[in-house]
Amino acid sequence: MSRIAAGEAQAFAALFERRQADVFRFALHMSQSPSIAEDVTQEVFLQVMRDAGRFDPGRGGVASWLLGIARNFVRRRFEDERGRFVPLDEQEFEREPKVAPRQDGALERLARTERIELLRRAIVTLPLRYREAVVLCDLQELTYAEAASSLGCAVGTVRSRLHRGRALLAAKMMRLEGLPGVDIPDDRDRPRGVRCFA
Amino acid sequence: MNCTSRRRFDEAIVELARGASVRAEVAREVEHHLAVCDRCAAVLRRERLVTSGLRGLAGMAAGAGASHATRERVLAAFAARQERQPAAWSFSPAWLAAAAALILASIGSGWAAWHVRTPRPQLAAGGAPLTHGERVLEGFIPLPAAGGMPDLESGYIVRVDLPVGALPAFGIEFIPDPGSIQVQADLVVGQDGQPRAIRLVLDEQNSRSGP
Repeated sequence: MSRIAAGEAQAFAALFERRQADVFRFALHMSQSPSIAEDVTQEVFLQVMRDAGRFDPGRGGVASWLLGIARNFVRRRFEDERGRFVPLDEQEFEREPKVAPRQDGALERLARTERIELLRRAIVTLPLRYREAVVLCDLQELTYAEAASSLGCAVGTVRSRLHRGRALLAAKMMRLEGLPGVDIPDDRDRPRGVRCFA
Repeated sequence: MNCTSRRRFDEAIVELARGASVRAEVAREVEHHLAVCDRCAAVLRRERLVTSGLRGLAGMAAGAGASHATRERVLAAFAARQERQPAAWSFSPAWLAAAAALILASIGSGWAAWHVRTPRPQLAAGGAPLTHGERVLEGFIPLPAAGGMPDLESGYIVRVDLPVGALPAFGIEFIPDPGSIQVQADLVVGQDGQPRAIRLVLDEQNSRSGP
């Protein structure tokens, strides 16, 4: 980062090559829009170009820092497009055909593919704070500490949001699979004494 | 049987379903509990279903990344920014004028894309022509600052307007028409956005003159 701040084009290019996919995939999972993912990736690295000197390794790694910037741009994009960008709502999601519960061979694989597709669409219906936790921890495979650094939250808050987000996803999937649901933990499960302004 | 301790094991069950590490004694306790608690066993099945789906989804996106066009835009923006910043360059004001002209030209005019592939071109020393394999890039003179730069792997030729006063900084001794304040030149800009060589455009009609 210090080399980038000093203007070394090769260091900047190397960072882009190494990290652009992480940023792109985060924005893609958050928005399900490749064009938004392209825009966010570009904006993130343009900001890195301007603010590389502000990177503080004591507050987290480079990947966490980049994904934190990406998260802000994604949120800004959603706010800019509020009214135009309409994520699938619950009703639309539930109109999807049910996946056959048990099949063998090719049908089983097809069912699995459909299940993944439904899950992909279900993620977009999650409230942002839960979606961010699911994407960072379970799709990007960041540790709780890394995700907390990206989101500017306590580790316990990330864990709580992740568990809540997964429970919401599970409830949607169980309904679609025609399986009995289980209760979903509510926000009362949030650790006491943990405050997050993210 | 269902557990009466409200979600005592939920957190550990989620972590187990995610494949995360859980302390051995907790894992053992959960395992014993799952054998007798229908509710927690259902939670584990639910969480495993989610984990399986999320892994599949992550796998589907594993090869996704930004396009080549985005990469080019970002790297070009970095190069242009460095050209604008005097702190990052220790060149004369004439260099800065040339950089500004380069930026304006890159925004306002079409780029003649020129992607060079192997074999790598070599910059000749002492003002000799720039070569690319057997091909000679006619009239290009390596810039004085290009000697310490990495090999030219790919790049562009960009036509720019340069102040006449900037030419000596490019190693060009050129006597223009008395009224001339600008000349046109082609710059070879490398893969890192740094200019490598220059060639004057000796076209009277394209040269601009002062009042």
